[in-house]
Amino acid sequence: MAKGAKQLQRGENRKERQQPRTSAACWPSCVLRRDETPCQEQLKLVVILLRSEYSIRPSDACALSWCQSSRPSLVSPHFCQVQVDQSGQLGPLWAASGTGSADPGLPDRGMREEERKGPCGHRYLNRMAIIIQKNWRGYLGRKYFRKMMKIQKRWRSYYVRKYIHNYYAIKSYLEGLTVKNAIIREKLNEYVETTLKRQEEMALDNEERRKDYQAQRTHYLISTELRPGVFNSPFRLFPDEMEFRLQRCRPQIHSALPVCETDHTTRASGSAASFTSASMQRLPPISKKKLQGPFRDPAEVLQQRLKPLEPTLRVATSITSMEEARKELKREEERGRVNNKLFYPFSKADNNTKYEPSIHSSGSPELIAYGSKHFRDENLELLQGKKTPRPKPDSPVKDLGVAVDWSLFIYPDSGQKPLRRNIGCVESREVILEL
Amino acid sequence: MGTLEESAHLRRLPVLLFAAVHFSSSGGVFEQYQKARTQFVQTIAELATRPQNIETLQNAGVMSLLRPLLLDVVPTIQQTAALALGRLANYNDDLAEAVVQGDILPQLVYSLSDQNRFYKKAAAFVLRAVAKHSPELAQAVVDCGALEALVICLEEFDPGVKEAAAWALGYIARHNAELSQAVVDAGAVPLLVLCVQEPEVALKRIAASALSDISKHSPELAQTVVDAGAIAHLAQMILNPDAKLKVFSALSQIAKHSVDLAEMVVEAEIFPAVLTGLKDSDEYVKKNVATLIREIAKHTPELSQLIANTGGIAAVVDYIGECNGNVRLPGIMMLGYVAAHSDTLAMAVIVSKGVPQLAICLSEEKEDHIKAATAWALGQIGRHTPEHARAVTAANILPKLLSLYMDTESSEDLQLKAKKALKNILQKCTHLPALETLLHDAPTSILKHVVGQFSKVLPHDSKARRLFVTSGGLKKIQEIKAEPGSSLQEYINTINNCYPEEIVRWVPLAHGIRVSNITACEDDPLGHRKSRGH
Repeated sequence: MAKGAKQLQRGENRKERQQPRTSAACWPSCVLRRDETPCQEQLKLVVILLRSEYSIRPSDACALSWCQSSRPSLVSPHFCQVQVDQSGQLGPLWAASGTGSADPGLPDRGMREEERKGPCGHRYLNRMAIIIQKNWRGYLGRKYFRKMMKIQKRWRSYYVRKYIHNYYAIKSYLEGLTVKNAIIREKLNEYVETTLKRQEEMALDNEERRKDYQAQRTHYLISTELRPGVFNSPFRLFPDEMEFRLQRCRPQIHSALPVCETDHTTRASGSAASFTSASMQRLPPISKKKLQGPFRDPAEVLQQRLKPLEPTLRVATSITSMEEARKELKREEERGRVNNKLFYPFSKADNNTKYEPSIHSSGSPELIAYGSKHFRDENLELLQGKKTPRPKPDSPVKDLGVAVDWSLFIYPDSGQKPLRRNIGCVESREVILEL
Repeated sequence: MGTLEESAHLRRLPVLLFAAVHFSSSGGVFEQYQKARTQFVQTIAELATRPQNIETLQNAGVMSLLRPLLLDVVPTIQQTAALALGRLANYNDDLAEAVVQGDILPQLVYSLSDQNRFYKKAAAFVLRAVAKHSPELAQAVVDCGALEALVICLEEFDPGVKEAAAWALGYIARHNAELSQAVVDAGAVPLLVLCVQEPEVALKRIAASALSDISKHSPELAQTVVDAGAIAHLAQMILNPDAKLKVFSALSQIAKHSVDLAEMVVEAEIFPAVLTGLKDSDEYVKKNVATLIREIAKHTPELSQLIANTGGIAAVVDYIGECNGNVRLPGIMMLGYVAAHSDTLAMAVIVSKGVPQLAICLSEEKEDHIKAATAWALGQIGRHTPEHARAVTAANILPKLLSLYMDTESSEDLQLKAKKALKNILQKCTHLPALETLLHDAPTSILKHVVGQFSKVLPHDSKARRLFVTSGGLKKIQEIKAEPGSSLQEYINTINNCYPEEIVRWVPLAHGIRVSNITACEDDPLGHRKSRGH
C-alpha cells in the first residue's frame, strides 16, 4: 500500500515537472506564469498559501512544487524548498507533502522516506502556513503600527503640552511666584523693622525707668531755694536733665521699703538654733544667791520663754488649704482625663412603668360623677319616698351665712335621678322647685 | 590621789550639770557638729562653681567625704551636698565616673521619691550632670532605676523640679537610640508634652529640648512623640521669643525622618509664620529654622512646591545673603534640594534670585564643605534645560567651578562636586560666550563636554560660527590634541566640518582674521554640510 502510494506520488511529481497542472481550483494556475521573476512568484505563492486558513490544499502545494520546477536549482532531489525573502526570514519550507509529521528543521537526517518524498501532508503544511502567516501578520501589524503611532504621536504631544508641561501655565505660575516673593520680602522687612523698633522702645523705656528710680533714690540732691543742687550748677546755661527728673519724681514712701529688724526683735522670735549661734557669744550667768521667793529656775524660765514655735496642725495649715487640695484633686483628675463629656447612664433602661398623668392636669374639666351625681353609700331604694325634714323658711339655719337649702336633698317622687349639686352653691328656690 | 580625783570629779560635777542644764541654750556638741557640716558643705558647693578649684578638691578626695553627707539628718545639708556633687560631676567625666563608682546613684534615686522639692532638684541635677558625659555613664544612670523616679518627678507641681527632671531625661536620651527608647518606655513623653504647655518659659524650653533629643534618633521614636500630640503644642510656641530655638530644633528632628512626619509638621500650619524666624536676631534660631525648612523640602516635590508657594524660597535666599559661615549651610542645601526635584522648581529658584546669591557664596566662603554644598546646589539648578544652564552661566559661575575643580588645595569632596556640577551644567549649556571662556583653561575631561556642546550648536548657527572664528575659538580647537577615535576627536571633526577647508588650515597660522574673508567663504554651501546625527 505504501509502495503504491509512493509510486503514485512519484508519478505525480514527474507529471508536474513537465507541465503546469490545472487543478480544480483554477486560480493558482492563472496566477502562475513561467516568465515571472521568482520573487514575484513566491510572493504570489505566499498570498495563495495565506488565503487558506490553516491547511494547504493539495492544489496549492502542487502549484508550489510547479513553481519550484521552474527553478530546478532550488529543488533538491528529495524535497522542495521555498525560500521566501519578502517578509523576513523563513526557514526552508517543505513544499513536499509528506504524510508523516517530521520536524521541518531537519531536512536530511533521520527522516522517514515517505515524509520526505511524499506529497503534501497536512501537518507539515499547517506548520509552514503558520510560519508564513506569522511573519506576514507581523509585517502587516508593523505597518499598521506605524500608522497608529502617527496618531498617538499627535495626541500625546497635544496632551503633554496642555496638561503635563503647560508652558503658559508654568510661565504664569512663575510670574505669580515673583509677585508673592516680593510680598513676602516686604512683609519680612516690615517684621524686622517692627521688632527692632519695639526693642528700641523697650530699651528706652527701661532707661527711663532706671533714671527715674535713680532720681527717687537720690532725691536729696534736688536744689533748694537757698542753695542750687549739684545738677543745677550756676555756671551752666540750664540745669541738667537730672534736676528736672528730681523735681518731677514722687518721693519714696518709707513704709514701702523693707523694715530692717532690730536686734531685740529677732531675739524674741528667734529659734533656739539662732539663739545659740556663734554671733551670740553669751557668757554663762553669774551664779547669784538664790533669790527669795517661789521663783522658778531661770534656766527653766528661759527654756519656756524661748521655746520654739510648734504650731498645731490647725494653725499650720494655710487658710486656703481646702481650695488648694481641691485644686490638686482637680488637677490630678484632669491630668488623666481624655474626654470632657459626662457619661450619662441609661436611665430609662429599667423603667417599665407607664406614665400616669395626674388627675388635676388631665381629664375633662367637668366634674366626675362621683361626689356630685351619686355617692357610694347611698341606698336609693330605701330612701325613695321618704321625706327629708324640710326646714321652715324662718328657721335659724339661714343665719349660717350660707343659706343652705335643704331642698337640695329632696328626692323627686317620680323616681327620677336625684339632682345633686354642690352643697356650697346657692340656688334660688324657684329653680329647685321646678324639679 | 583618790581624793584629788574625787574632788576634781566633784568640782567637775556642777560644770557637767551646768552643761547639761544649758544643753540647748549654749553651743552644744551636736550644734557645733551640725554647724561644721553645714559650713563644710556650703564651702564645697561654692568652690565647685569655679573650675580651677575642682582639681584640688578632687585630689583632696572630696567624693568620699560628700557621700555620707547625702544621708545626713538635716535636710539642708543633704541638699547642699547633692548640689556640690552635681557641680563636681558636671565639670569632668572622671568625677562623674567616681560618682557612679561610689554607689551614690542608688541612694539618690531612692531618696528622690520621698524628699522635698529642693532635694529633688539637686538630685535631678546630679543625675543630669553624670548622664551628660557619655553613653556608658547615661546607661549607668538608667540602670539604677533613675528613669522611673525622674518620670515621677515630672508629675510634681513645682516647675523647678519638673525642669530639672526634664533636663536630666533630655540628656539621657541624647546619646543613642536605646537610651531614648528606655526613656520613652518609662512613659516620659506624654508628661513632657504636658510640660511644654506649662506657663513657665524655662520649663517649656527644656521640655522642647528633651523632645527634640528623643525624636532625633529614629522614625519610630519621632512617631511616638508625634502620637503624644507634641506637634500642635510645639507649633504654638513658634512665636515665643525665648523658647523658639529649641522648638525649631525639635520640629526639624521630627520632620527629617519620613514624608508622613514632614507632612504632619506642615499640617500644623507653621508656614508662613516660620519664615519670620529667618529674620530673627539670634543666629542659631535662623539656622534651626533653615534646617527645618530643608528637612521638609528634602522629601517630595509637593512639599517643596508648598514651601515655594508660601514664599519660602525668597526668604531663604535673603537669609543666605545675611549670614556667614556655617550658619548659611542649611539654606544652601535647601535650595539645592528644591531645585533637584523638578525643572519648574529650579526655575522658581532662579526667579527668586537664588543664583546670584549662590555665586556670591561660592566666592566668599572659605570652608570647603560649604563651597562643595554651593557647587552641588548650582549643579542641581543648572542641569535641567538650556534655559536653566543659561541662567546659571550668566552669573559667571563656570570659571569659578573650574578653578575649584583644578585647585589642588580643595578637598576631594569639593573637587568631585565641582566636577559633577560642571558636567551637569555643561551638558545643557548652549550659551557660547560662556563656553568659550572655558575652552582655554579646561582640562581634557571637561574640555570634552565643552567641545561637544560647540559641536552641537555651531552647525546650525552662522553668526555663532563667525564669532567662534573671530574670538579665536577655532584656533584653540585646532590646537587640541585628541586621540583619534575618541569622542573628542569626533566633536572636533564636526566643528571642522562647519568651516571650509582653507579656514581650517589657515587659522592656526594666522592671527588677525579679516571678517570679509569669512563672509565670502560662508557663502559656500555650508548648508549641505550638516553634521551627522543632528
